[in-house]
Amino acid sequence: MDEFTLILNCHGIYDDFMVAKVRDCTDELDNENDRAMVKLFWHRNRQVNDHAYFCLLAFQLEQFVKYSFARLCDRRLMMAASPDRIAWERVKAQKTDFLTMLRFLLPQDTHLYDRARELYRDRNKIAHEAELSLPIQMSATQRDIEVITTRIKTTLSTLEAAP
Amino acid sequence: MGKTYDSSDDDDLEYHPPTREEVFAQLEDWRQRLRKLYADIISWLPEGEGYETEICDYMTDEGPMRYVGVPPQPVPELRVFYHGELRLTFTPDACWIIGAGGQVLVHTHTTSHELYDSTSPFVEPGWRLIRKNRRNLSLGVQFLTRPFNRDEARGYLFDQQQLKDLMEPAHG
Repeated sequence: MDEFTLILNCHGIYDDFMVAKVRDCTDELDNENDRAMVKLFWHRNRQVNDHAYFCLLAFQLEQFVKYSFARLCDRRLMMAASPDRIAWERVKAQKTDFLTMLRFLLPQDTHLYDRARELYRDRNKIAHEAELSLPIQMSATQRDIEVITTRIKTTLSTLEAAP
Repeated sequence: MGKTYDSSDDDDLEYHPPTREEVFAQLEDWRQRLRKLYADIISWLPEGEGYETEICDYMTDEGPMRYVGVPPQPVPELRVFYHGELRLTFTPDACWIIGAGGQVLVHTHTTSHELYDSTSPFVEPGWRLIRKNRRNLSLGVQFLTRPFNRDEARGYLFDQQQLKDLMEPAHG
């Protein structure tokens, strides 16, 4: 089981619990006001749960991109002729931001780059600005991340297989 | 590498909350997608076998609506009855949701499944169903030893067969 799946599983356990709470209150409470309050309480809790695990997924993606970028630099350094080598050594030595690394690893004219950028934007919004008003479809997010990581893996292995 | 990368698009990393007009436009689009979904579901139910449906209003109150000061708004909710007994409730859960184009919760007697509109660019457009079979709630040995099914976790394209499976009381 990979880290992404493990994170999704952990999210699902508490999410199911909270969805069940919302269902139960419909049966248990007669008062419409009480029901609305209880529902809102669990609804907001669900969103915070979504966001916490979304951040974990996004951090895993970032680690993966960092690691892949380092592999790319190593490979490019091995392949490059001398003027390019200097450029790649410089790229490797400097601190590179996430989107720049992504541009090296993903074709920019595809949905993949756009989606990865979107994930990064949402992650920044949640992590830095504590924006907790939107729920998250975690399964779809995890699938998107998997498509992105698979594409990066393919790019790297093609590059590393080249003579 | 041979290509100079342009960083100008980084400026757009900001999150732009929708305007009041956009909120209403998106809600109207959401209502239309829901009506289309419900029409499909109703057409999938076999005729003359005791199925009945009812569409009522569900008041939705989401983050972007509160942000622009829009009070709770009605969106359609579908209920499916079998010989007078409520079997399924399709409750609109979220019009604004990260990672999907919207989400409906499908409540059965015992559990709630997620039905989301996969407008995500990588998957075929359409509604996908993620079944919750309560295995997570029990946390028993069965859960730990059961092999993880990827397709099950990411959802199946919602079609007539999926609907039929949901209707089975044994499925929950």
